[in-house]
Amino acid sequence: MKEAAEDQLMRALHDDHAVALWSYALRLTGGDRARAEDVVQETLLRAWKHPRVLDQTQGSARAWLFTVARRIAIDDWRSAAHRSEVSTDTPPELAIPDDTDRALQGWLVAEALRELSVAHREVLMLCYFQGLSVADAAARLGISPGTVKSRTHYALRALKLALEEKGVTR
Amino acid sequence: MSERTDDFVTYDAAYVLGALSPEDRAAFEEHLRTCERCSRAVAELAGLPGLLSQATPEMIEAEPPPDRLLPALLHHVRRARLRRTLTTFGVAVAAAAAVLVAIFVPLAGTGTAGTAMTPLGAYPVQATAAVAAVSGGSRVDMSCSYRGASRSAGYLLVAIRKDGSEAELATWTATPDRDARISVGTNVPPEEIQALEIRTTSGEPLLRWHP
Repeated sequence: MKEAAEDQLMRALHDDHAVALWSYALRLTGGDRARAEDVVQETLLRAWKHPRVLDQTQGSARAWLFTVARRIAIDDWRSAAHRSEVSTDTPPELAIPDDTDRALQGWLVAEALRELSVAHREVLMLCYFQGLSVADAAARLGISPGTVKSRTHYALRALKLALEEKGVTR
Repeated sequence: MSERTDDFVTYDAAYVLGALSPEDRAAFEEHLRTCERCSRAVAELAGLPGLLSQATPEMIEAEPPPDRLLPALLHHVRRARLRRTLTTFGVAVAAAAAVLVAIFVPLAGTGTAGTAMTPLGAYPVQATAAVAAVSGGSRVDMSCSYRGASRSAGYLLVAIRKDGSEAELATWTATPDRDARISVGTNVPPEEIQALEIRTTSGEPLLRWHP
């Protein structure tokens, strides 16, 4: 592989997955930013060395990355515990919650939302995440209730499409 | 109320999100009983609130990773590439009179040894070199890279003694865009070495190095 192509692959990996991996790693390491950075770096390097894992839907590639990140965080936790000879009754497996599947799906949904237009994302944030009624969302945005309805109508369809592209169907 | 019926087309999303007012909701549910198109539209969107519930506003407004992450990753990519080119470079070292040992050193984990050799012109070749004392003479380590050359070329590594005489240390064939690392022993002691030169097989000097 030529130099430019290899750099490009790493850039693409970074652009597609770094935000999700960073947040996931922060949670895996209990907010330890230095360790989280190591986890993300090691995970993306492994992906770069095995680019075939990326020849699948974004959801499947992400599943691989999250699993690797979790593995690295556990190994890191074990060796750190070993080095400082910390004695603990808690087996390492319990130190890191295995909510990989749920976290994965949530991240894909979050990313699909980020890909929407501002107007579409905004109306979904208000009507779903903040639980506002159509009338309240309309007042907040300074638009008519009819416009809120039609925006949610188009926003949910755009979201559905974005999720399907990521391999999330249900 | 045909005007009202047209409106209903856009009610599906607000309905599944639970954002319709009680009045709108009742009216829309009444309408759904007789409108196949709107029922189908609602069914299509019915799974989305469940998916949305798996994301949190924090995920959507997630903090970006540190700025230094990408440069650090690209640095690792370049280092991995360097290691790989070093290990795959095919070098044929010919035995020369002064050569005691010509080996290919284990390459894992080593950076570029020594100091840069000075280019004597615009050639597609760069190298670093180092000389160390060993029993019976010197060990010369050289790392050489070829960029942008269109075809393979033969090169020589020559040691020039203080008295002006020369000892040919190695010859090899360079392949474009590959790196070579050579470690050779010579019976010339370090203090006798005035300079090292990389030359073409026709004798044209390309790079020179002084201790």
